[in-house]
Amino acid sequence: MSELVFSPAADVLLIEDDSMTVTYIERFFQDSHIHITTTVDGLRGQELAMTRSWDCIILDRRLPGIDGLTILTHLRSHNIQTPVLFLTTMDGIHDRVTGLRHGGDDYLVKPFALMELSARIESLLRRGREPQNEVTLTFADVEINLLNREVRRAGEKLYIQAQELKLLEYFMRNPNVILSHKMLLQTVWDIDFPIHSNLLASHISRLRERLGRDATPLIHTVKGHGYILRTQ
Amino acid sequence: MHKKQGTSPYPFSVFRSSSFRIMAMFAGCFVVCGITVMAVSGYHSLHLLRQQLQKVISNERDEALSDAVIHDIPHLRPVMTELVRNEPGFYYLLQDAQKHIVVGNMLPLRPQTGWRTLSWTHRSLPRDHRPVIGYGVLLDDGGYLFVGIDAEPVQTLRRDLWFTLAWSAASFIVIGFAGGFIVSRLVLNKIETISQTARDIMKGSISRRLTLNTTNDEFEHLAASLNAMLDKNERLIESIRQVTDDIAHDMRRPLAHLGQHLDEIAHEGLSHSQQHTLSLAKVNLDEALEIFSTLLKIAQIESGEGIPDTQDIVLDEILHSVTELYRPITEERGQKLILRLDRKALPLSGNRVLLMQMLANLIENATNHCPRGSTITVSSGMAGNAVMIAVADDGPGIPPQERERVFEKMVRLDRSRSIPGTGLGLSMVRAVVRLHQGTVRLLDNEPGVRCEIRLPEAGRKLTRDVPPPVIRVQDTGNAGK
Repeated sequence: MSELVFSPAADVLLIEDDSMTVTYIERFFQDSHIHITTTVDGLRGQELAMTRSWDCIILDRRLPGIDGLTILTHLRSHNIQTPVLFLTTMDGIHDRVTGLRHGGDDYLVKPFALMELSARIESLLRRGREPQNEVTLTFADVEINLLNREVRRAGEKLYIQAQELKLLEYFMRNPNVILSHKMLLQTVWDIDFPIHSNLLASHISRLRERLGRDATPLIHTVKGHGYILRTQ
Repeated sequence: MHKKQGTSPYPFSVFRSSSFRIMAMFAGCFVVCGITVMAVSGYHSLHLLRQQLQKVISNERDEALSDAVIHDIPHLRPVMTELVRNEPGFYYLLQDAQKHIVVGNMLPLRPQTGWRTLSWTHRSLPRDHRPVIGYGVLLDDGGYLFVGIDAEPVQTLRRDLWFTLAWSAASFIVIGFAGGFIVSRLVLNKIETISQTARDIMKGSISRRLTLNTTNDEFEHLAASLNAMLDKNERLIESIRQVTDDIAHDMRRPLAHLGQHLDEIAHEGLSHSQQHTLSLAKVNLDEALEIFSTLLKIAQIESGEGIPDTQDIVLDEILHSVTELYRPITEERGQKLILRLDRKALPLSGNRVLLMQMLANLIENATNHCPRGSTITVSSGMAGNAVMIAVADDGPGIPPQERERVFEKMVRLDRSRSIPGTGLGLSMVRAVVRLHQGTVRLLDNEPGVRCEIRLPEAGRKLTRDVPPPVIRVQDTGNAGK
């Protein structure tokens, strides 16, 4: 987590009724820049979400009193565009899609690893801060021109295939954030089911080669969790 | 490729039914008994008639002989002359030793004593061809006396008997077979209703039952028993399914908490070897969780509940994206991954994510089970009104007898379990294919294995010649091209 310490503080609202999960999440983010405010009640959660400004909301799908989906619909109808991460208990194929369709930004199936949750929150926070209509993405000496899909490193043009570019673009949009295997598969390949992680390793090692075998490595492996784009 | 298999007994032929066989046997017995009874009584009446005729002849003969007193030609000649003149219904012959006619209304005969039947009359005047039955006596002076009577009644009776026998045998056979046919049809109709219901149940409508009428016959009794059995089976299946799902569902909670505790330990300054053990524990835990999630997902797909509505799918895009996902790892393993798409876009509708997972599972299976240097071919095309997707390899293949079993849950042919996997990949493939009303088959790729999936074209259902979603195994490998 050291690479995240320098990020600006963020207020996150957690609406979740399972006390064990709440304790688990709260303890994990205790000393980080992410401040978690928790409520176990759906209606109270909706009230909090409406009255205060948040950087991100973590919303359980099934809550006592009110459904998570209803809260989300309510927020969006009041033009509150805070990024929302859904927590779904069942990995029901239906649940995932409906969450996104109703304006959710991401979802995570319980049980989840905290690193996975953390990575997804980071990604959502970054999305909220970054301007949306950029023409170029720059990180260190790498530059992607989004209009003509050209990639340059230290001014030199790199030949990168479409799929690899998509992967690189995702990294460039989320620098210094751990991107989990699941996030990479979901975003780059639209794969929403478990796949053996060495598959991803092959793609990453290819991308690393494209970025220059002898140049400073930019994509680093975070063992057991995923990959991160950073300078060191 | 879709020819009917020998094991399928539908539709059932009336002539092969047991009710028809029973009726035919019954008709056969009836025919034999009837013929026997008729033959015996016929023989008896023939015998009686013959006896009666013989009695008349005996009387006539005895009368002639007693009138003559001495049995030679000179004494018999006047008696016979009188008889020929006065008894026109009889046949008389008196001839000498040289077979010259002395008196009579017949042609000469070879002298032979006792009862004899002449097939034609030998009558001199008027000539006719009636059969005659009579008695011959050799006389003391070498002459021969014959007294006979028209035997036509016997012959007519015999002919009539044969005629009746033949007709009744024929009608017994016709009535027996027709009755057998009708009865069998009636029985078969009832049985067909039962087996249709059984087939529906096998296809997945577990809640279907046989309809009961009020006839209260043996079929109703059978149907009621079968329904009771089906009720019990359904309850058992339901409870097994429920228990499996509950285990998968309930185990996830404690396992998730276990994972959380392991996460917490990870931050407590463990030694390097402890960290290593911890990460191994996490890997094992993730595997267990993955198995449970996959089991639940398969259960959900099989039940068809909670699956989002189907959408139009660009098959090429799915095939392309999944093969591209696997390309680097196959290349690392020294395998060739070829994508061969149909020239035109194939119309398909369904669940995109599930179809992608289906394809990923198949390619993953192929790459995991094939050695370095193998070629994996992913192809698409139309087969009739079905969209065909095939994943073929030239690896070690699957023995024909195992090709159906590998679709079962948790079945792995790799006994050493050295190849990664949960044994759920093909079960998932089958569940997804069934959800889309398609078929999946494993064929011999000579060498290797070819998994062929047929899905109904968008907006259409598969025609009946493509069987309902069942797994079929075919040994020949020429089915592909």
